[in-house]
Amino acid sequence: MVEFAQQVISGVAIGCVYGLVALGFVLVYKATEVVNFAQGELMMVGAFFAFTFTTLTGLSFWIGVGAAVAAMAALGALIDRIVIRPLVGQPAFAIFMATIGIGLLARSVAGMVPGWGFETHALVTPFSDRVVGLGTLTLSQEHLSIIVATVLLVALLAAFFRFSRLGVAMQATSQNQLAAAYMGIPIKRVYMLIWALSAAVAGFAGILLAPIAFVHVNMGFIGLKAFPAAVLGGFGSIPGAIAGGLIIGVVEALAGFYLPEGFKDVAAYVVLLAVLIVRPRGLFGVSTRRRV
Amino acid sequence: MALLAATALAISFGGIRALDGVDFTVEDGEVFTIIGPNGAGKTTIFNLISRIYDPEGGRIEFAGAEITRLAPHRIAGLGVARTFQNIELFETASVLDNLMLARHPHRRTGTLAEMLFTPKVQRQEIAMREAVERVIDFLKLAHHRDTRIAELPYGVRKVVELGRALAAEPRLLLLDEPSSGLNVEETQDMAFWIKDIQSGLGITVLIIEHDMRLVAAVSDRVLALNNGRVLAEGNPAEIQQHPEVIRAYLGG
Amino acid sequence: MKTSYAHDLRLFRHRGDVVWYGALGLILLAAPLLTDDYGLAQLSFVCIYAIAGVGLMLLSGFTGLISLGHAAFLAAGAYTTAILEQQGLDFAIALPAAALVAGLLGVMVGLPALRLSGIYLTIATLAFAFIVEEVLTRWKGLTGGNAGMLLDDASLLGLAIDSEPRFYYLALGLLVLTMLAGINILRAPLGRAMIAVRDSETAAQAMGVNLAIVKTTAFGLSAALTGIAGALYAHKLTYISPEQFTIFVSIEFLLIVIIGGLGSLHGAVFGAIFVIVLPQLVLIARELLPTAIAGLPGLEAAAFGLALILFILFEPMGLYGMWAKLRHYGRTFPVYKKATFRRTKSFLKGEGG
Repeated sequence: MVEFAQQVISGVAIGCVYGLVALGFVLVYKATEVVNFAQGELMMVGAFFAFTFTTLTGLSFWIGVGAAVAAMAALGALIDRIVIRPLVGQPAFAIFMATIGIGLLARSVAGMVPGWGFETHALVTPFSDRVVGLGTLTLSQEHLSIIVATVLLVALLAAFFRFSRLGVAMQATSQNQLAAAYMGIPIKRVYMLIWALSAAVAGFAGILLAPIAFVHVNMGFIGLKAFPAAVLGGFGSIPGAIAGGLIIGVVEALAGFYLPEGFKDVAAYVVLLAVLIVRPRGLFGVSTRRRV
Repeated sequence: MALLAATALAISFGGIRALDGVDFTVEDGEVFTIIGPNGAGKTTIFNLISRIYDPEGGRIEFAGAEITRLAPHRIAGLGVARTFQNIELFETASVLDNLMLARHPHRRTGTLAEMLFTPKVQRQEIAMREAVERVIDFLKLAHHRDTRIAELPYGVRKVVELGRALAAEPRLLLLDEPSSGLNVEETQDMAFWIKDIQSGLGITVLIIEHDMRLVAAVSDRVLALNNGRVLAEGNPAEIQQHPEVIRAYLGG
Repeated sequence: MKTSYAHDLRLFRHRGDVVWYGALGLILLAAPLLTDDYGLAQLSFVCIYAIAGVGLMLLSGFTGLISLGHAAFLAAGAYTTAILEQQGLDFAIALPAAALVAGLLGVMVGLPALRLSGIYLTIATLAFAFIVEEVLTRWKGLTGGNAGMLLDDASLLGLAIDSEPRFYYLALGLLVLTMLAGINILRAPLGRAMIAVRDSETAAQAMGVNLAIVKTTAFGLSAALTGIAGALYAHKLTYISPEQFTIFVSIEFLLIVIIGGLGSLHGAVFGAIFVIVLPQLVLIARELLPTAIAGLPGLEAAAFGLALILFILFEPMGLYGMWAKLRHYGRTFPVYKKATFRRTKSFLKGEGG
């Protein structure tokens, strides 16, 4: 029973990471209908930035992390400006392929940066290697910090979207681009900010993930699981993205513990296919039909 | 003989009753027009006939056979063809290829034969091409035969949409707002074509239309619809003078 | 001058085409005389990738079903070949078997995929490929797991395909047959139906196209062709393991059809050439670059990523599009209109492009 709870907690922790990557992904999709295949790679770059700003340059952890998130926001805005915006009006598939290209590029460039390369790096955090006792459970502070940080971030984002002018503008732009434009909202700038936010969230997820998975160019693969998470959640739903991530994380952890070798790696994808067969639009997805 | 018979058709979309017990019949060989304000349920009727939606109640019979829950792709084979309000042409294909696809119900060859391009496939292609060229001649589309739809102006696209439905050689032709977006001359052409289709090709035509002059010019009978219900039915003159129709739709 | 509809059906519609293709054919046949074993091996790879490219093009380019999981079908073909030949069977049996197994796998994916559309379908194919990769790794009894499987030279009806020229002719022959099959499909009702499904499912259905059958056929056919490529691939590499059928391979296939030119069969060949040539260019570039940069791994992947982005930004119709523009320019000189190739853009959400 204790082991079960431990697995669930670790599953929830990794699920939070999946959920955050999926959240960033859904943010962009809701607004622009663009599917960003490179979301996982963005997470990886964010982890590397954190690694660079803390370990390599010796800044304090919190400043380094803040700098990394800010750098990610800038990167997201840059991607939107240089690659995505010129593609406005093209078929969705073309833009999707462009993000695949971005992902490929990001991964290989990361391998070429001096100090990064294809080796594994450790990100040292104030929570490394510390544990907390909770009754009969021993929880690593890393797992706890991930869960707490995710909850805080999601609450912050929810408040942002609800109460801040920019957040409301983003929602408006997501729901009805034309109407938002007519209301005087600067669409292009809002899109750029949404990309910045999405990349920042991805980077944040990478920072949370780094202590348990290490910083490595293949982190993007972990981020690939954001797709099943987003699909589970219904692709246009932010709470759904988190929920999807949690489900994937827990299923994965339990599969790794109870099932033979190999099931853990594909658990996310098996769950995805199972859900899609029953509900082709995801768990919370809404069916949209072209009116003819 | 009624070619098409709709009985007590009913369907809702998210709480809104789009059709609430609609009855009508279309006689073989006539031009039957449905009019009504936007949202009256006209296109919904078409979508039920071409089986995009399932009705919640009622039935549809075509040539005596019930088609209420038939699979959508079987309708064309029975002899029903339609155009779409917002034009659903195949954008990346040429006019010719769009029309050739209309001959799909006449396909008698399988995947393997087509991969090998057997003589039977070749003969079928030529036969389909000949049928399609007749429509191209009729609608004077020869000029645009090899042009991609994406490069054609709106007025020509409407004609191609009509041509694609005709190329199927249907018994019943459903035209959804054939004159929308067309200027006076183009609408005039459309009226001529509809009359020709009826008398020259012997096809029964069911139309949704807003342009009352076109309606009056081509229709044998008119059905006025409002809020998912039938207001009145009769010949164009009767409908245009019907008090409820005037109140709901024609103004005044 | 065209004098009959049959003329439009012909393989070569312009007399000039016969000359060009004839010359190309002669050069291709004479390749063993014109280049060495290494060059022939590269040409063979182009053929293999082009066959898979045609397969993916039919599904994604023409039917509009984007697959990110085609490595799974390549693997199906490769492993079927390896396993059957391990039992002593001739390539003449292993090859159709590879196509059949891959094709059935394709149908298996296609059937549930009928309910999925757009990005959901693509992600489902991705998930499927990951699962297949894992199955190949874990089912050690059948596939040898991570240790992989070795293959001897192919034996085609007793004839040993044990030299580069022989393998090249085999691959080239299969590519020609594949292209013919593709061209035939596209000038027949099935091809039109595929394009219809891509451009407007609603209209296609209203015109009598059975969506389920067309989509499943497209999946099966696409997978079978990729399976054939897999059979050749296995023999070319002589060693296969799950690591050769990762998502990167699936992405590489998509690269082929995008950069080659989505929506044209020739694009598959152009794309295959590009995917084989680019690493060679990177090799050459490495010698020219300062050692610090040249020694870096990942240059190729970066080149692919960059190429993909640049093509989508500046030449969305791909290499075939560039070629078509060039040819159009040549044919219509001097009344060439640049706007001929301008694509319409759609700006409203949900318009579907």
